[in-house]
Amino acid sequence: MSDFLWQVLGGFAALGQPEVFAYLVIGFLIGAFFGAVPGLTSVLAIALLLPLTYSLDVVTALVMCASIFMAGMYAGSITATTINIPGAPSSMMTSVEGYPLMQQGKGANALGHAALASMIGGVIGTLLLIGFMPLAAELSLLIRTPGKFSLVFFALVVIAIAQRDALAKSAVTTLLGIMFATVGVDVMEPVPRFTFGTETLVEGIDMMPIIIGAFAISEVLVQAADQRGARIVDVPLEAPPAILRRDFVPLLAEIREIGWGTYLKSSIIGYLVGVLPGAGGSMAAFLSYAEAMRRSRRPELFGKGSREGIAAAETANNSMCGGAFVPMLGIPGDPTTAVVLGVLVINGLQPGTRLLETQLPLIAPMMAALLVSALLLIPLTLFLFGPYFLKIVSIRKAPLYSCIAVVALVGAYVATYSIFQMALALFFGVLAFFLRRAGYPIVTLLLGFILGPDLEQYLRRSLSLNDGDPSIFLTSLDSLFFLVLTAVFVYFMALRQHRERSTTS
Amino acid sequence: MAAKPLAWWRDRNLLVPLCLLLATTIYLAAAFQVSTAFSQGLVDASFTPKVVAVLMYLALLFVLRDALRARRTAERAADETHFADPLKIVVLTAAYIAAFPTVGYVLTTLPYVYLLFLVFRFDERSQLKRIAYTAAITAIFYLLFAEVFSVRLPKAGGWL
Repeated sequence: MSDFLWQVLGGFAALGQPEVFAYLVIGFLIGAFFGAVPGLTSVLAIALLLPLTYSLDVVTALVMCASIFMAGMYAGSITATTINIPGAPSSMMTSVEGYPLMQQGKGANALGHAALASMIGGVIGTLLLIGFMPLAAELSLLIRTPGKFSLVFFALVVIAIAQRDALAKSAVTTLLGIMFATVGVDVMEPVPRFTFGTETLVEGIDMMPIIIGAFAISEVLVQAADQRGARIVDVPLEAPPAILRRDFVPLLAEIREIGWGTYLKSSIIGYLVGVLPGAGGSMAAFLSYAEAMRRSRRPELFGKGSREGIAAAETANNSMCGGAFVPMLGIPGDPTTAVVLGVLVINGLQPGTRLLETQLPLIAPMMAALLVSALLLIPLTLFLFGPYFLKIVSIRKAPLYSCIAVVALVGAYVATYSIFQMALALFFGVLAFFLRRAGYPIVTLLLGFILGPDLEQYLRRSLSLNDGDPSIFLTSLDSLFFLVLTAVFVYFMALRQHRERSTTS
Repeated sequence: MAAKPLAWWRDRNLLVPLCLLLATTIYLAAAFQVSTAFSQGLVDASFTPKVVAVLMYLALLFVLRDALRARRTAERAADETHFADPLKIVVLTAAYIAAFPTVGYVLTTLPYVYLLFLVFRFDERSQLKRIAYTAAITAIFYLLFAEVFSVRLPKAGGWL
């Protein structure tokens, strides 16, 4: 344990290198921009960064990913407060409380509270991550092959049912992701599959074109399809009010009124939600907001500009960042950590239970980056750039999405110097575009693709060890635990809600 | 009065699962062609693809059921999607990808960005502004990739 802590402290030392720190700041600013602009997400920012990780040192790449993630989660509150359009879905509850404050002329105060809450949530979430990661790693070492299959199965099922209104569709995209993952040489024997007579498919489909296609190219196509309805894109903005830097500092009396208990409880809720596969920042913010409203001494303020509501939502969604990295020991729980997992794989690191044991010096700076981003960069960014936040939303779509298209395509090329990868990125972009238009979630496609090979390997190994008898999944205790957990989640997240909806209608 | 439903081939809620159904059938057929290096009984290289294909059929059945139910009960959904502009971008991007290795980064990116501006209707009145933005974007990403990240971008004739 003490060795672990020393190595984590070494991570902070790595951030002391000017080049790494510069990339941390650049990553934070990119994440803040992508988080603040409605329609752009931190996942897209990390996806666009992915090809560049070939040219970057792995520590630098992971540090950048962490700062983009933290900044993206925080920056969603900016447009949520100023123009009532959440920059990221996780800031929806912030817009419910922040925008009324903005209308009352207290927008800067609301932004200050959002930044303070994001800072507190980010710091506590990261400390919880650092504190509990060795325990999680030790526990994960106890899981044997059948248990590993059931764990991956649990993650995929929970991620699929987390897409509440599109259960069958999310199952389809998850399975589609697994199907794409089976292209190429088999995971257990040297047999090519689904190559359709071409040599280029023998090596399988790379993660890069899927990520770039699904998140970047499809976004460009979606924006092109929408523009006739929305015409000149830019978010309508009437005379932006002037904001002074001193207005951002929250008053001590207001913080006391919110109460440290709210910050702490919201941080814990956010962290725990982050640990769950598929839950994400929106659920963290919503649960924490609902709990804050339930326990509030002034519930009548909720919906009319409650600072407590902003604090609860923003603390939770930033604390979620720490929790989301816990399952990264092998089972990414959300798209951001899935793409970060891609960064690990691209750089030759093997995600999984031994990641902490063997690669901690590379992972520790990423944890340190989460902490520094939350503690220093969130308040600093608000103080320095706060008055200009309103202008972010007046950026025109055409140059923005043209830039995204160029970065995505050239990025897909530079990763492997292969035109085939660029063409695949376009193929997945078109596929994702049609899937999105028909209401299919894309996140599950990516997670199915990433987790598919593990699922197959553990399934076949378990069955081979037991002469093809599937009862091994019920007789192995760790496997049984995850299967029961899957059943519990299916009951509470899908069956019961479906029954309640049917009764109501 | 409920509006007449879209023709099935224009209804994306039906068309997407039908295309996926076809793709799954091709996938399943290919799974039966997968040879195995050594006999492992049922659990060979084609085992998982076959299971996944069967599960996919099941999931698609549910999706199709929902789509057909929606066609029977709901009014015709207003479809705001315009496919002309996305199609133009796909064609442009395909041409960009095809020309990229031989024509080079600069000579392909300049017209690509300019034409994207046209598709996005960027400043239709100011040709000069469009050209200036095109040149700036091409230059910025050239500097980012070639200079900052030392990436070898393709060049036409070895100089541009």
